[in-house]
Amino acid sequence: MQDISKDTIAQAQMGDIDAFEKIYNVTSGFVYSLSLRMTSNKEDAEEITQDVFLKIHKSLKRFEFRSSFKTWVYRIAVNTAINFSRRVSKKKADTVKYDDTVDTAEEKDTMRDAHEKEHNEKLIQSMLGILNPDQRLCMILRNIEGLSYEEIAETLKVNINTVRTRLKRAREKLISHFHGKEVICR
Amino acid sequence: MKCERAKELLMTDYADGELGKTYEKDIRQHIRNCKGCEELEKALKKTIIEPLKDSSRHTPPAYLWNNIKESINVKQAKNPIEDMIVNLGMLLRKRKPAFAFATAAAILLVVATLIQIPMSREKAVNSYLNEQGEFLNYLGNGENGYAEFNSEGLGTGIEEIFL
Repeated sequence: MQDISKDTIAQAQMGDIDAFEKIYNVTSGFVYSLSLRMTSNKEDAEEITQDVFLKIHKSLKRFEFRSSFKTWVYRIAVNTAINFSRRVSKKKADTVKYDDTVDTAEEKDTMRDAHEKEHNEKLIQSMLGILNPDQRLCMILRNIEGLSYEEIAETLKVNINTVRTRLKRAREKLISHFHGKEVICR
Repeated sequence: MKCERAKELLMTDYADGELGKTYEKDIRQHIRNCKGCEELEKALKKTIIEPLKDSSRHTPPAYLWNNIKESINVKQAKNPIEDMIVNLGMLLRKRKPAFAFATAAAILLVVATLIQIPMSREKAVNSYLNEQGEFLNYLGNGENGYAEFNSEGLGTGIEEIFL
């Protein structure tokens, strides 16, 4: 995620909607992607994204620059997405919809690349669908968003060893699913 | 390094590049000599690490920002006073040193005033008592005071009536 200047944040805190739009432009990709990966559903991802930005706007005035703005946004997004995901997973099975969620940059890709990307996206969603919300979140933050263990622990407000355990169990589950248990137990 | 420990690290710190160079070297050496761990490393890379690394970033639809903006406007129109209070609170927080100084000055002023009030009352009481004392002395002084007063000859002295 690109850095946001302190001035932009301060302007948005004072109610400048253009400054808030700048924040949205920089952070919405992360929030929307995370929401989409957590729910596998476009409408749900839009609902979460909207909810996250309304929460950010409401609490922005209380942000005092003591922690990193990026981590602060991550935390709001992650909490909203995981709460939604837990609530929804109890009610219905996930529905995977990919058709119109792929990045616009894809238009420039060749048909073959686009096809490969789509195939990869389907694979990712099926992988993430195997995991529980906590494991899924750790995998997204680490393997897709590239956050360090420390950043994940800070974002989720958990111990760094909890992050390690969740990642280990997630990967064990995936390996067992795709290659059989013997690969781990051998 | 034991297989169990190597597998644990393979699935966590090693796969994520969070391992120190020494440990990394140990694991590589272990993988070279252990077929099971070598297979696990390959499976991890092929099935998990690489596909996730190549995932594309999704962008929200353009209308989403308009929806958010509209919701913000509606909310602000509904609660303009709440918004004003929050802004004021923020201004006070931002000017923390000046605000703290002003608060301290105000507290000192209040304390000083509270101390001054009993002191000025005490002064007033003392001055009243002094005046009364002086007056009583004046009355008590037979020749210069009361007697002189009687000598004016108003004829109202209690002694004149009874004696």
